[in-house]
Amino acid sequence: MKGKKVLKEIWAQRTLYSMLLPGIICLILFSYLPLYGLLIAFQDYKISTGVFGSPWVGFEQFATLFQDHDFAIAIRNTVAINLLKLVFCFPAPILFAIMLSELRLVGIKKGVQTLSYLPHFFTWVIVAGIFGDLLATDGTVNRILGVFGIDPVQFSTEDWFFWPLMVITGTWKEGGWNAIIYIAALSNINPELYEAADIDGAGRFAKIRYITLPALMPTLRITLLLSIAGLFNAGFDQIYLFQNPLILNVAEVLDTYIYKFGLSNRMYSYATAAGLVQSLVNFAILIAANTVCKKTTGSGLY
Amino acid sequence: MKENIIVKFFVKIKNKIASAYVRWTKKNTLGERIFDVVNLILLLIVGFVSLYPFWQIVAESFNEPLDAMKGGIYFFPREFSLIAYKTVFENSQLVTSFFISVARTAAGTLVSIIVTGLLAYALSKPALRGRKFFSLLCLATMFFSGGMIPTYLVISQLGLVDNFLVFILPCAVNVWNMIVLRTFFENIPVSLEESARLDGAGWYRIFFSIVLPLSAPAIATVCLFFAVGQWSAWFDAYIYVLDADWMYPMQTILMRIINGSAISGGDIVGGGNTGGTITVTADAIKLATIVVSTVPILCVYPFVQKYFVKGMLVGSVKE
Repeated sequence: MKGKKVLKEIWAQRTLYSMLLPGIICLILFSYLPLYGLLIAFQDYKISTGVFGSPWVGFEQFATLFQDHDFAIAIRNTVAINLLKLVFCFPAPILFAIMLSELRLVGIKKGVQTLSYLPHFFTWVIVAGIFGDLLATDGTVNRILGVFGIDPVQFSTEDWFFWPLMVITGTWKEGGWNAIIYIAALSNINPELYEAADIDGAGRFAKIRYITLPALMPTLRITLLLSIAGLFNAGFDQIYLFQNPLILNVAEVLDTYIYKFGLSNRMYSYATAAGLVQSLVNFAILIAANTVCKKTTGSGLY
Repeated sequence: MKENIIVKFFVKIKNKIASAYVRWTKKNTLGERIFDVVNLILLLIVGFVSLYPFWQIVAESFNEPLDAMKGGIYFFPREFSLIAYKTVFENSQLVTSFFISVARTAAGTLVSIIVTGLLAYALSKPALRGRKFFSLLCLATMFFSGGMIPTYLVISQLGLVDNFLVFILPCAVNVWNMIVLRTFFENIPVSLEESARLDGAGWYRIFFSIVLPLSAPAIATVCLFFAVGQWSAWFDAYIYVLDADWMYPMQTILMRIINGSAISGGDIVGGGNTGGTITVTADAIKLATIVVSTVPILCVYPFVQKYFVKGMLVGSVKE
């Protein structure tokens, strides 16, 4: 008789369920159906025959994948770019937040903060356009280099420049925006702590070292975890919009590799297999990072 | 008399600055003062670097195109000209794309806020049976995704290729924004809704006439997130619009101009040449298009940034 009661309760809540419905349908269609579509990684999928009619090939796609030299290159580039970003892009907003908090001139502080958000609102398309213009052979950067007697550099075709460019544009676009979360953490510090430190005769640097930095740690732990978890995920937009055929050996990452094989060459199964490898590794890294974080600090993401 | 007031005003300001300076030198050691100065300079540089690249684009786009090719325009146009903008606004493809961008932003934001809002509201009700299950169903999508290719296949099999709905439906639910809204809804005093229910109002009535107005700040924030997402999207049209060229939003066209893949200056530049001797370069059109497609967002962002900041914090705290 319990079942009947449950049904009655559900019926009583039918209006609430009808509110859930559109959203849940969208999630099922656009988030869960694609999960089911991962099956084609184990098939030789043809659009004409669909998931049910295409032949199963087991791990054949994966075998081809791991023998492809370009796939290995894509993995190397993805990890390298993300590690560089972890070293350079990640600390930038923290540094920026601390510097801002140390600035006593309120007007300038607000102005700089507002300006630093600005690039976040440019799309990668626009950022690629802007930097393409700045770095052109006759662009501003080359003119400045010219003042020092350096010959114009064609940045877009220079192998060595692509990784730094991803770090520079990444920091430029999101640095100020990512600082928000740290700025908020700093504004939550109890001012009495600083007052007490004043009475104890602590200088500015001591206060940064012993009050400001520790206050950032909980936030920093989470953002660091999330960054590490994205190690296998280079982000499609930025890379795709900046790369060109001449520098693919440093600019091809997993996401663009999948795009090219899947949507340009229509090798659906092959590209899906590559995507599956990427998701699984990502997931494994997330779990591992979270476990390590929990063991060392006592708390993690979940 | 009047001059006297002005002089007094300046003296007052001067005294204020002087006393602030004295306080600063007294309270801080030499090392700290050096730090302050260096810090100020560095932050001013950060502010400048954030603004300048775009500023230069604006300056170049207002310059006479052939003259701009000589370079050396750093802060202001050398030979002011609106020809690039005239060309952009006379090009039917670019004008259409502008309206497509506006249309998808308006329709997409509206659909998303309703679908995501209703979902968030239902999930904010502790009494809802299966609430945990449905929440998990939503949250799980933040960690697993089918990836680019399976998603593409699903969307094309749903008949959304070359269909305007492809801009709207796949992003109708955003789990992150759902969490922001749910957090807000959960903090609305229950008593308000209860009294409305006693008066016989249904859930929809309560949602639209009580909860939504009370959550105006959160709704505004999330609408802005959706709107910026819609305005900036280029990739969906890039892969899901195959034959219906007219459906390209501005960002996608811009992407193809910058990439030099589709509209090579040619057809657009042709449009600008009708004036006779006036020439427009492909570069000038690119820059003008960048500015035109960015201006709507730039106009609103300084005023709404505090909402963005709030929305981001609610979401991250809940994580």
